[in-house]
Amino acid sequence: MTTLRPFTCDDMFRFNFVNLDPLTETYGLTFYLQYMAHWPEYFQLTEAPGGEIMGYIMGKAEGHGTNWHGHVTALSVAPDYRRLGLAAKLMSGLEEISEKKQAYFVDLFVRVSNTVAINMYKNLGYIIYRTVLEYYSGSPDEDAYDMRKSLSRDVDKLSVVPLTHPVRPEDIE
Amino acid sequence: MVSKMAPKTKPVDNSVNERRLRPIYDWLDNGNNKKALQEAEKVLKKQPNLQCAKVLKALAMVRLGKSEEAQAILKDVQLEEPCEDATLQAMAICYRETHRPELTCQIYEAAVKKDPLNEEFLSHLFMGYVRIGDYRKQQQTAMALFKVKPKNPYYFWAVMSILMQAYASDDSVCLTITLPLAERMIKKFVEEKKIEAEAEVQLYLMVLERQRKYDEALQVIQGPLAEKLASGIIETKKGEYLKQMKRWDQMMDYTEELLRSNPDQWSYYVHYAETLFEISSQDVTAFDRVKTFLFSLLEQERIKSENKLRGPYLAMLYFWQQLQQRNFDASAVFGNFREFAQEYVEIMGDKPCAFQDLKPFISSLPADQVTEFLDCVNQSVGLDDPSRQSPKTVKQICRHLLQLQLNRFLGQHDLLGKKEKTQLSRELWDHYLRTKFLNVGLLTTDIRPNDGYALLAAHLLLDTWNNDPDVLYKCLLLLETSLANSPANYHLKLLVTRVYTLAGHGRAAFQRYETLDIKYIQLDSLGHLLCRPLISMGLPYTASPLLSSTLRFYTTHARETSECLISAYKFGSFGKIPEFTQFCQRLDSSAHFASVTTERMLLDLLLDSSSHLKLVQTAGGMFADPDKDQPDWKTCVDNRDCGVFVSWDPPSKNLHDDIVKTTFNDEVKFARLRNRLVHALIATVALSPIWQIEVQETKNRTENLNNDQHPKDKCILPRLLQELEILLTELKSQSLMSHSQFSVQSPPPPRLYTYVENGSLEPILILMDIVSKGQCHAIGNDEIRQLDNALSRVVESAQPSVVSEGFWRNYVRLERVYNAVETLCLCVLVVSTIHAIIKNNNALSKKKKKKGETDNDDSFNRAKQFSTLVSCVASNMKKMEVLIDEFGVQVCISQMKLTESDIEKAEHAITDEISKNLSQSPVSEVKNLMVEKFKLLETCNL
Repeated sequence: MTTLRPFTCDDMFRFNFVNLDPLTETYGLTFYLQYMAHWPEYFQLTEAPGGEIMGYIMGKAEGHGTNWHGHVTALSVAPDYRRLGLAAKLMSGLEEISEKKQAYFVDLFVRVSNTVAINMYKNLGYIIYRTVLEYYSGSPDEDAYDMRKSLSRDVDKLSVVPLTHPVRPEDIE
Repeated sequence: MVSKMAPKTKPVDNSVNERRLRPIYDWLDNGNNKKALQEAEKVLKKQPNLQCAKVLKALAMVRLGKSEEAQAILKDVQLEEPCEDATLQAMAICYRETHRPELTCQIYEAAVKKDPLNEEFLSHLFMGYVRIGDYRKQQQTAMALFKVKPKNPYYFWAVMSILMQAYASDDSVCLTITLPLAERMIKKFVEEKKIEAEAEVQLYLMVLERQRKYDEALQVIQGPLAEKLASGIIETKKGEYLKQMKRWDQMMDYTEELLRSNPDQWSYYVHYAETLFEISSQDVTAFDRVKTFLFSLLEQERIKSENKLRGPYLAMLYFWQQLQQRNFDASAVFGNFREFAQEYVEIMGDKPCAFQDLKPFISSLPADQVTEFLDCVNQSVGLDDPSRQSPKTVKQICRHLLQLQLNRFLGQHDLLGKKEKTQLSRELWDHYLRTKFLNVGLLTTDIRPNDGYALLAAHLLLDTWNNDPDVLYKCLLLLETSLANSPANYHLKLLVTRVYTLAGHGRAAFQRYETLDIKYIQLDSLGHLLCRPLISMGLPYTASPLLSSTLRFYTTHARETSECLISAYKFGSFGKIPEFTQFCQRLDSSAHFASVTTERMLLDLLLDSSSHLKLVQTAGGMFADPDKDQPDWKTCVDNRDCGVFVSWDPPSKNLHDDIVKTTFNDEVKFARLRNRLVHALIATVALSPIWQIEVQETKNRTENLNNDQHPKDKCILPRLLQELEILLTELKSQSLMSHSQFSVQSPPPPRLYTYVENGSLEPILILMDIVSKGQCHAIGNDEIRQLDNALSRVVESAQPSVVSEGFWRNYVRLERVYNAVETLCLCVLVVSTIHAIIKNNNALSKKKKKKGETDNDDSFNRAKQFSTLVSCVASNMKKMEVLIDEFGVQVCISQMKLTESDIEKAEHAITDEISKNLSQSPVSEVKNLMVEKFKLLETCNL
């Protein structure tokens, strides 16, 4: 039971069940506002019948030519609302918008240690396209997987042929 | 990055200039402002009239903190009316960084006058108006842009600017002139088939909606323009328009269509219910139709073997509740509520969200069915003997926790006595320990599935607390142990923070609070949990940096938001423009902002006043303006997230809306009282002769502040004192909430209650009144007696009282102590001002004396009366010191006996940690503060 709707400024006052979780970063206002200003349709949230915010997804569309794609910037679900398929629902919403925008694929970055998330994305049809070395800073730095799923415009599925060599963060387009 | 503002292409004759300026840009970009300044000066030596170099020099100065000199340079350049892109952009950055966005408009206005066809200048001018929110000028500029370059975005910027004028003023002119104009403008483009983007159609809808022309809007989303819109928008809009036009029959068909394709979208059910009740007043058969429809959705889920949706199950509970609330016989129409609830528990009970899902509805369960329902829930867990057996899987834990939570919510825990509750909490803790094996292999960032046992056990213990230190200790033991195992669980962090607060151990509370990593917007929504309470708990030094970081958030957001507003225009996200504007206002009007601003100033005066000179410098450095430095108190808003604590308490004990509302109103009243107080204090200090020497000089240098109402102005203090008196009289006549009404999870009790009750303000008022009336040289015995009485009362009220004050007892006791300490210390600040005034008068009269007159008696009397005043304050401070020493020993729960079994079961590291936390003296900071101010008082002798 979910209400899926666009994220609004006022939601920031109440997203604490999601954002107090240490894996969900709380950013400065500009970050959220710029996403809302630039890609409002890519920023969606789900709300419970009692009004609690259960989770949200932030994304954008970018790239040129066959690299025109949807990108998942953040996806987060409050701990009490996990195992309900909300992440899958939010992801499919983002894929749908990207289809409408005629993107070739959708991609996202995930910590290599986050096996739960990686498996979830695999179940949703994403493949590990490449490894990005030391993408997450910290002690020690951690690698990221760049995961991708092709959309219908990419008929030959050229966007999801995995790279054989890892890349450095500065080499990502 | 400054370099972005450097012109991309330049005429050849400018290449020399560009080569010379480049290094300045580079230094600025690298953050080396000193080098940038030197470089700029070097360039200006060669080319003293190079405007851009002058401005870049000013920019470097701004960033080096030399705002005043920078502004002098900028003023000169502005008079030259620059017309060169790089110069203008650099100036705009200076103005942005010095918070003078209106000047950016001025320079571009001048530039546009000289070069009216320059698209770049016009575009900058438009953005400048966006920053200051001048919608009318935005409109004019956008139209001018469109005339220069007929691009669609410019045209729609103008339309949006018109719409913003309509949003800003709700008068009849909007409906008759402004909005129709916007509509005509768009229609013209529609007719000429010039509509290009989705944003333009959305703006069309916004203009129609604002005029309540829903029928036309409906035609738009069903006509050819709909192609431009994303599908999600059309769905929501269509429902909204049908509802607004009360076309309920259509609405019924439409929501059913939507629900069939997405039976899990909650908002559709809400609309569906609303439609049902509208139609049923005319046509009772609607109930049958809705019932058949909802059951068909439910049936679809029932036959699924997996991945069942929650929607259709919860919908039955929701519709049942809606019927009941409207006095229909819900059971007759829909069937048995209990059975729907049981079915939900059966299907979804193994998900962690089950309780939250049921919470809004389950209180509709008829009282005579509670036992039967709970029996069924108990059975669904599958534990034969819960006192000995524990769940074997994570799903079983979820079911077990749901059972326990529902029992609590349905009032079963209220039936238990202290002994039984303690027993149950022990059982839960045993379950916690016995299910730990299920946590193996989880990451530190995963929340443990069995944490719920610890939380519930802690809640049960808190029920029985009644100020028994042993209970609180056990509670901390549970929470700290489970937190050590599950460091990501914020429910545990929040509760442990709260328990330390209730225990009166603010510093330990602060340590736990910090692990929540609260930042940015959360400083506003969650700051109330500990920010002001730290001061109440007598921790001004700990609170100080927290107040500063909160304040930084509030003061930077406006600039950030206005940049995002510009982006929204650029990307055509017109719907976000009014939303951003309102958001910005909501932050500006935050009650927490008002409170933090004032408390920060008061703390600065208190902590940064080791001598009278220092006090004057601190007060003078605030550039206070008693009229401008206060929000419109009537429009303050409540941004607190009061729902952040989970609770399974029955609705009767749950956080009420009234307490949220009342605490908010009282926090605003307190902030207002304190705001007037701090300005009165500054106005008092401003009458010190030292102020004239120290502050006057800096004031002269900063003309731009244009403080008409200089705090030194002699009539300000009497006026502020009068305002304070009025506020105080009003507050005294109101009935205030009792502390016993505050529960574990409620917002902290406003400080207003103890502050007014203890008469904390009176002694300070008496002293400020002496200064205000210019009677420093003639302090009467009456005033001294009054002061002594008022101070004794404040000190007296800090004594431990016998009145029980519920969960917040320790907290409130600390607050009373802090009130007294703060009042005494603020009195010292005023005394130091009186001292400075008398000393100065004495010096003046000595000069006079040389002329012949002698007034030895007078000055002797003056000194005598003043020293009586000083000893009055001093003796009350001494009394208070004794009280604090006694208090430090007996306040909270530092002295506790631990039962052997508790120690055995707990890990030593955790007991050590708790003991360390609890052994910290809760009064060390107030003691420090008293010592500091006592020293200042000692310097006040004649």
